[in-house]
Amino acid sequence: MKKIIVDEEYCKGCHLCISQCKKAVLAVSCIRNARGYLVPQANEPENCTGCLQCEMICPDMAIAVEDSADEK
Amino acid sequence: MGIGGNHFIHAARRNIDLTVIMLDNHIYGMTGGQVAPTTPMHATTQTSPHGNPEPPINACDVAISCGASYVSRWTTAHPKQMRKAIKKAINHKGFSFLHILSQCPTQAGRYIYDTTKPEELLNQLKRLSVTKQKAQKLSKEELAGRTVVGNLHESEDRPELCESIYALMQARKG
Ligand SMILES: Cc1ncc(C[n+]2csc(CCOP(=O)(O)OP(=O)(O)O)c2C)c(N)n1
Ligand code: SF4
Ligand code: SF4
Ligand SMILES: [Mg+2]
Repeated sequence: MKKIIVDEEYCKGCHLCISQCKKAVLAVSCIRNARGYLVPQANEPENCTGCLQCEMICPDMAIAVEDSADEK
Repeated sequence: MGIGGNHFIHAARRNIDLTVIMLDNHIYGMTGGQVAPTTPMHATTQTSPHGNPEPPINACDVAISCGASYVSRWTTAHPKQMRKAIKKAINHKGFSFLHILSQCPTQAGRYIYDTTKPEELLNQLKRLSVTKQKAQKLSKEELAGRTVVGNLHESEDRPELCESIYALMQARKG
C-alpha cells in the first residue's frame, strides 16, 4: 500500500490534490494547520495507484506519495 | 515579458545557453492584480477596471523570432509533459524558453476569470489548451481563445554564444 504524506504546515488548503486524484483517495480533513487551512487527508490509501498526480499538482510541494514499509 | 522583456529578447538573439521558465498567470499577482503584458484583451484587472485595451504579447513567438533554439508551452494542468519539457530545455544547448500557463486564484481568478476556485481555474487551463498537432487541423476561428501547447520550436542550426566566443579565442591563439 502507498503512504501519502501531507506536510500540514506547508499546505495552503487549495485542494488541487484532491481534485486531481482519479481514485478519490484524498478528502478534506477536519484538521486546520497553523495558518487556518483545512488540510487534505488520505481516506482510502488502499485505492492509491501511486500515479503521483497529487504530488505533481501541489503548488507548494506539501504532499508526497511513497511506498510504505511493506512494499519496500 | 514586461520588465524583463529587453533582456529576454537579447538573450534569445544571442542563443546563450540559458533556460528561461516563464510562469504566466495573466496578471501581476504579487503586487495586487495589475494588468500585465500577457493579460487578455478586454480583461478587467485592478488597473484596467473598464477592460484591458491592449492585446497580449505572444512570448513564444517573440522567443522564436529572436532566435531561441528551444521553445515549448504547457500549463500547470500538464505536469508530466511539463516535467519532460523542463528536462529537455535544461539539456538543450542554447537559449531555451518554456512558457507555463498557471492559475492565480487570488488575483487573476478574482479579476479576470470570475472564480477563485483553484480546481476550476486548473480545469479551464486544460480545457482551453490544444496540442500543436491538433491545432494544425483547426481554423483560426476554432483556435480563438485557445492556447496551443507542446514543443513549438527546436533547432540545432544556430551556434550557442559561449561556444562562438571560445571558437574565436581558439582561432586567435592559432
Ligand atoms: C525591476 C523590478 N521592478 C518592479 C518590481 C516590483 N514587483 C514585484 S512583484 C511584481 C509583479 C510580478 O508579476 P509577475 O511577474 O506576473 O509574477 P506574479 O506575482 O504574477 O507571479 C512587481 C512589478 C520588482 N520586483 N523588480
Ligand atoms: S495541493 Fe498541496 S497545498 Fe493544495 S491542498 Fe493539496 S497538499 Fe495542500
Ligand atoms: S498518487 Fe494518484 S492515486 Fe494516489 S493519492 Fe495521489 S493522485 Fe490519488
Ligand atoms: Mg503574473
